[in-house]
Amino acid sequence: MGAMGALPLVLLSCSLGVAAVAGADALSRTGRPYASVLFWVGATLIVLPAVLRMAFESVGAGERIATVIAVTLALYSIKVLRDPFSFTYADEFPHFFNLQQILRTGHLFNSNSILPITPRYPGLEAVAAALARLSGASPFACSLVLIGVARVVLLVALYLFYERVSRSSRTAAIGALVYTATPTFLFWSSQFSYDSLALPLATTAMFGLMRWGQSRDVATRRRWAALMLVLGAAVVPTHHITSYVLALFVGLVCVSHWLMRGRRGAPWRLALVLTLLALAWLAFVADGTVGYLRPEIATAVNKVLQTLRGESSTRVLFANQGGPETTPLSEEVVALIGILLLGLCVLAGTRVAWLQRRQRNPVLAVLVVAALAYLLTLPLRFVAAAWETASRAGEFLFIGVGLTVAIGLVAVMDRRQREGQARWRGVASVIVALIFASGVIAGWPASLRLAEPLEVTAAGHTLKPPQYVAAQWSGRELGRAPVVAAQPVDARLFLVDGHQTAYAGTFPDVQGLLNARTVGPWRPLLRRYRITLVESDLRDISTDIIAGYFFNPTNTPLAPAVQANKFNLPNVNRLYSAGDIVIWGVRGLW
Amino acid sequence: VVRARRTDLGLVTVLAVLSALLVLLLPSEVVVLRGPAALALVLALPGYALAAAILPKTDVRVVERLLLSVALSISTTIFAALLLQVVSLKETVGSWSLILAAVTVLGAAGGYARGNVRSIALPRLRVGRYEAVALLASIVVLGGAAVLGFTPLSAPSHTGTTTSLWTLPAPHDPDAVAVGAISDELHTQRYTVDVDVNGRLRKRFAAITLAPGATWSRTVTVGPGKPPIEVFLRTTARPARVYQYTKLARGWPGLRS
Repeated sequence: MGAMGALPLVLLSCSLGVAAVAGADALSRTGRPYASVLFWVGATLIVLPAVLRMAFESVGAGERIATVIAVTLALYSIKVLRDPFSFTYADEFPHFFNLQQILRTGHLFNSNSILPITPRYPGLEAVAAALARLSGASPFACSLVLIGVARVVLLVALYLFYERVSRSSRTAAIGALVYTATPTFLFWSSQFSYDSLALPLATTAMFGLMRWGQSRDVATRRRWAALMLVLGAAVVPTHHITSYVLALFVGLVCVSHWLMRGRRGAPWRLALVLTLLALAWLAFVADGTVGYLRPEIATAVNKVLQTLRGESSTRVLFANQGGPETTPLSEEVVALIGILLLGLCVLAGTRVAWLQRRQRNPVLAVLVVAALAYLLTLPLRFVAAAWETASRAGEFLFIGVGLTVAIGLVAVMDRRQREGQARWRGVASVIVALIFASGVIAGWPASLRLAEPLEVTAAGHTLKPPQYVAAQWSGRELGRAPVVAAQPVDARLFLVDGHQTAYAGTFPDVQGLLNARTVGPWRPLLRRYRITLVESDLRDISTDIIAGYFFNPTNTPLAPAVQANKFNLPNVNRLYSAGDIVIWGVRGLW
Repeated sequence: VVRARRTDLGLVTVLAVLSALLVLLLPSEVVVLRGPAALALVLALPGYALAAAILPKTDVRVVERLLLSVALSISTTIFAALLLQVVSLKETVGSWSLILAAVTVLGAAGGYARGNVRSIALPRLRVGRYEAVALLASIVVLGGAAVLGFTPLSAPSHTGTTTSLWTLPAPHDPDAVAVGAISDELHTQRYTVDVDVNGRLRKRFAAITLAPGATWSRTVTVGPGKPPIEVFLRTTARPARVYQYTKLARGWPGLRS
């Protein structure tokens, strides 16, 4: 090994993995087979050698950090290569629209008809707008760079946090790599969405909390407290739930500290200030947050209770709710093995932490409890309405899982090594790779992990799918003034590509309007929301906010034609027609 | 001053002023130069300077300092945006560069006053032959992956494509309509467009040839009173079948010329 250790080899392996995933995406975009196999080859090349190297004791901290950064960037590139031309995740559209609005108006807190709460948390878009304004680069490119930097901040902060908690760079590096097995990590948390920036800031604040707790003198403590509060305060205007979770985490550390070491010395004031900041933002700036979050949480709780009482059927695992995507049997088996291994490793780590309880480490105790809580959320994946809540909670709880699993694995490896069985490093690496694979499988539908045809070439020209062409035509020819009602996919395109106000879904009840057989009862809704355009899109895929943004096969399933034909009225204009997509001018129905 | 320049905070101050000048003076098209300057101003320099002003002098590793530099820079940008909003200033290149450079200079001054300053020492890194080969190979492989990943490719077979037809009041003539078509087909096609006014053919555009991605538009005078307009698009390959159809109802309700 040279001065850089095995880092060049790990970098080469990661690069080959990225290249394999790029190849898999190319196969997928052109409709060729074996893309999925190549994807898994690429993912394995990225994760497995890195974990194996981190399992060695003699590796320096610098190499460990560089390896964690390399894996982070390689995994982020999987998401970038999936969507290389524009954002295609449902939440990315409203956030990207917020960014466009900031760049257009020069101010924060603009309106957003798809996700009205998002402009009230403008942290992500403010930073992306500053980058775009100062660099002159495209907002899309700046957003990609910003999220990439946020990913690196998250994993480096986790590494340093774990290192402070466990006092082991080996455990920290393995823990950070285990964190990449969070089901939401590879795709969901890499999207241009407010939580993608808030969590890295919150994790850095958690690292600051550790440094605060380990400071020896009052002056140093104050400095780390100030730094932690600055970072925590930046989370507040960036994402609601992350700011509450950060305050909760510090509060739990206080309680844990009280139980283990007594009341004195716990970060009570930090918890109080963070809570007050989050509440103040909620009360004075983003009072719609409660109304936004309450239905989601209430529905999830109700469905869990109904499922427990047997009044509601359980959710089918590995199925995309509302979409046609399914998961191959082989992947289901890997996912189940991975979850089983994860559970065993969490229990092993919990045992080690229990045996070390005399060290009275309050942060470690909170993290182990979080890891156990993660295991308890797994049954929620059987409940359709609670699945998303459980999945999103996993993003936070997995911070505990990462360290607990690493502690368990390192303890097993050390024990086996004392018995002369060095091959357990390899076994541990495979275990982490399987846990990672299970996270990927559980996190995103199999058929949507790879790039879909979004921009295609034909006779030297580049084409976009018809739903984009319609939205861009509307923006170009009709300007910003129209208010559009459309299917969920199309409405997002009208927002970002058409720069128009667009409504979708059930509030207002655009779905009811589009599905109805007659227009008459819906005229008050058109008048109330001043809707001037309705786009009827008969393709079923236009309601699928995960899969609906790409070119579709010729035989795509369609909704009944009456849903479009009901607008064929004497006082309605049929302005734009592209087969199954029609834009109607409905101002005459007000 | 010379001694200050050889320190990390001196360098950070110089870079902040230089970056601010670059983004202020260069046109937005020069992304090659403005991009790094913007990255430094938004994601690195203010945080580094603030970290020097806030953090204790000792016991902070380089990686910790770098992490906090980025996180504090992002935080600074968020607070700066909120401040601009509170004082009703627009977020422009001028306001952004000024505020971020000012925070950097002030933070560096704070760090310097506290003596939290380091001399610049580049890390010595020996790269062996095999390491260099591995690193070079990584760069080549990543470059290839990027080219492949960011290049649009041909569509899968059986991809559903279409041509769209549109009709609107003409922008500057109250007695005319604008008619257009956009090809989203994978092959060049020929079309016919018929414009009917009050149910009678007013204008036929024959033999319109559109390559993939091509557009076509014309203005047709239809007379006063905003009569009902119907427009039919047919392909020359199947002239009996209406491929796309648009209409403006009598009086063109809700539409302005």
